[in-house]
Amino acid sequence: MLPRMASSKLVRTERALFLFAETLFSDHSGPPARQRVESLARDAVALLVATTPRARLMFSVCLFVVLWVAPLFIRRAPGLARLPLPLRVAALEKMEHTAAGAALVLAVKAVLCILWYEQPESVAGIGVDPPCQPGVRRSLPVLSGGVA
Amino acid sequence: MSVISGRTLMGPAKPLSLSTDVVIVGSGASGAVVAAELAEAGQKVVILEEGPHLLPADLGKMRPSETMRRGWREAGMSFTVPIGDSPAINLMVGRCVGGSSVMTGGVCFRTPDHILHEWVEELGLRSLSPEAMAPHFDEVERRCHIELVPEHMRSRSTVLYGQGAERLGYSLAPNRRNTKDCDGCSRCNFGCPHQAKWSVDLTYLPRAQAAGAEVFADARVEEILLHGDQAIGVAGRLLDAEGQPGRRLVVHARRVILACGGMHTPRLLQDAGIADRLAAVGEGMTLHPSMRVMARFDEPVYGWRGALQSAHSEAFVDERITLMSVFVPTGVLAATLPGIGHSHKRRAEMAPYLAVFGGLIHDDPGGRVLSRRSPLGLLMGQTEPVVTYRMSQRDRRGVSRMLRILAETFFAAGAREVFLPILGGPPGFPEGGLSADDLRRVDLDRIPSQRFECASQHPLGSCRMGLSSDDAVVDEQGQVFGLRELFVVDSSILPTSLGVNPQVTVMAMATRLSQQLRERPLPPLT
Ligand SMILES: Cc1cc2nc3c(=O)[nH]c(=O)nc-3n(C[C@H](O)[C@H](O)[C@H](O)COP(=O)(O)OP(=O)(O)OC[C@H]3O[C@@H](n4cnc5c(N)ncnc54)[C@H](O)[C@@H]3O)c2cc1C
Ligand code: SF4
Repeated sequence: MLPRMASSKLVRTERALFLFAETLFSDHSGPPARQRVESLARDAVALLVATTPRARLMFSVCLFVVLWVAPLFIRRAPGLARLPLPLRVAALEKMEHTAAGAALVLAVKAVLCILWYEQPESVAGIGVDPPCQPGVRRSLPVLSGGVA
Repeated sequence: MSVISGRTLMGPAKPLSLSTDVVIVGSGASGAVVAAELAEAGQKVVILEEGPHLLPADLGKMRPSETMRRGWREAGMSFTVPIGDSPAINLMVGRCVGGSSVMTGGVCFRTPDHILHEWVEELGLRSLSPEAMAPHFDEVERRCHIELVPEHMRSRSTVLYGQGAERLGYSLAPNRRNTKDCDGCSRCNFGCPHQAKWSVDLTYLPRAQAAGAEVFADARVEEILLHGDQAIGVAGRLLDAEGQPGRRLVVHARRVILACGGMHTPRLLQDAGIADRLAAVGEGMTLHPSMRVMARFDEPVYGWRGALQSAHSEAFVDERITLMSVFVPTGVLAATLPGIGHSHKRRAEMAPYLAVFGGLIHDDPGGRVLSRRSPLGLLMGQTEPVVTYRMSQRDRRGVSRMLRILAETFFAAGAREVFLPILGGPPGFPEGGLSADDLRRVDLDRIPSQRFECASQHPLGSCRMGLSSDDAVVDEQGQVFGLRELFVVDSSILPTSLGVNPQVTVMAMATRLSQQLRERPLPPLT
């Protein structure tokens, strides 16, 4: 039912996801640790492998169109990989601000963000609680912390 | 509960062949109810479920994305194809033992009386009157431990929204949920790791099994076996750990019951050629398109702390809008806020300060499950059905109205800015965030619908119940028109959308149908 992805396609997709993720999760101090982005890209590929060929196709179209076209939004030649990090950020940001580009950027961003913010390190970095574990029942903190 | 996994039966080349009184295809909210009722009445029942069996302990060990991979159809990446001025809607359905019931937020509503009256008076479905349905609702509520969510379980996000609503002159009512000892960890949509949500894998399926029913996981039905105008069984494939089809499976049965949900039951009927005689197969699907608005407050909100869905408002039901508390996983929240690199990080750091509230539209029947032989089906619909959706003009106006109500309520609660679910931001506001003044300047009606982010967890009515084969697929007993011993009991038979979350309606209708099926003599095995 779910034909596996050819390994050459997998490698290409993983590389493309790495590039997007490195750009998305960078900040003024540069990109996040390489191993974290690599493992994120692998995880995203595993998610794609678990879905159907048509969902993979739609996702891949979004991913590769974004990576190819985004530089045009800052008047650069196509191909995001060619640009240094700050220009990659600028290109994706510009594309995300357009009605047509936003859907494509969101498709890729959603998959990567879902996986990235599952990592305890990432959620801790933005002040969100880590996920609960079975057997470790949290007592309900809802009304603590000043709820009127 | 011990489930037989198709993975463990893969070895031999010859098909796995079974005989039974009743075969039920799909183990979700409806299939589980019917299985328990019929098994307890002494019938021999086999349940075939395409998805895997995910135990609560396993669910707790999985990250949400792993649950999506294993327990959601297409790993959560299904979308409708928009027709005309309509959004592309992210369709979410469960694919595991217990079906979508395992992934619900636990929200429980009886079918509103005005809907039941409409079914009786306008569609002539007398057996669905409020009086006739009441005992079935009672039964489901008792079996699933439906309780009111206490106020202290509301998240701060919901509390703030409620304060805004009070200021605008309407109020929130507590939800009822099928939970016991829920601690508000907010993981419900990825399966409850604490066995606090009483989904059917913890309630009806163990009952069915105790009464002798056999539940097979990783067993996909691909074909309804017909002998003339009588259903005599089903056939399909056992699936391996990666979902790849293996050994053939044939189940001969005296009665065939479809409980695959709104997307997949029409698919089986289409594949069996039944859609050629019944024009309503796959037509008229409703989705309850749902959206949410995020709002930033000065104070920390920690909106994920609390029962995922604790309160709702019916103040706008006359406008076909139901408002519902929700929260979304951090990753989804961060993704939908515009920003790349540093600006993304800055926005994601707002997560603790964000409140979220949502709503759904009691929609017109704009959905359609295409046959795999249709042009789009041939292109995109071989592994999973293609669903198209045309949003009616009144629903489109409802979307604008709903987003405005949600945003204005947050401002009344003191929000600094709101984020509407519009791809690329509202026109003139590419950064997304709107102040109260900005909101007044945005004309939501003029935004092309394709730019709205929209989701649905409620595909309903694609094989609706009715009095005539001209415009319906099943009769009041759930029997497919013109075919003997083929029944449909799932969410696809709902005659219209409900305007409220459907699991209790689906289960109560399944209870009613199974009580009739218990009394109906079974034919001999063919
Ligand atoms: C994320 C999410 C949240 C929800 N939250 C709520 C809520 O809070 N409150 C509420 O009232 N409702 C909620 N719902 C909706 C509710 O769960 C469904 O309306 C209800 O479960 C529908 O029951 P069903 O039996 O028709 O289908 P399902 O419960 O979806 O079961 C259908 C089963 O059939 C199986 N199947 C399909 N095709 C085949 C085949 N060919 N062979 C074998 N098996 C097959 C599927 O894998 C699935 O397990 C939610 C749904 C989702 C997905
Ligand atoms: S909020 Fe309650 S029902 Fe939902 S996952 Fe947590 S304990 Fe289970």
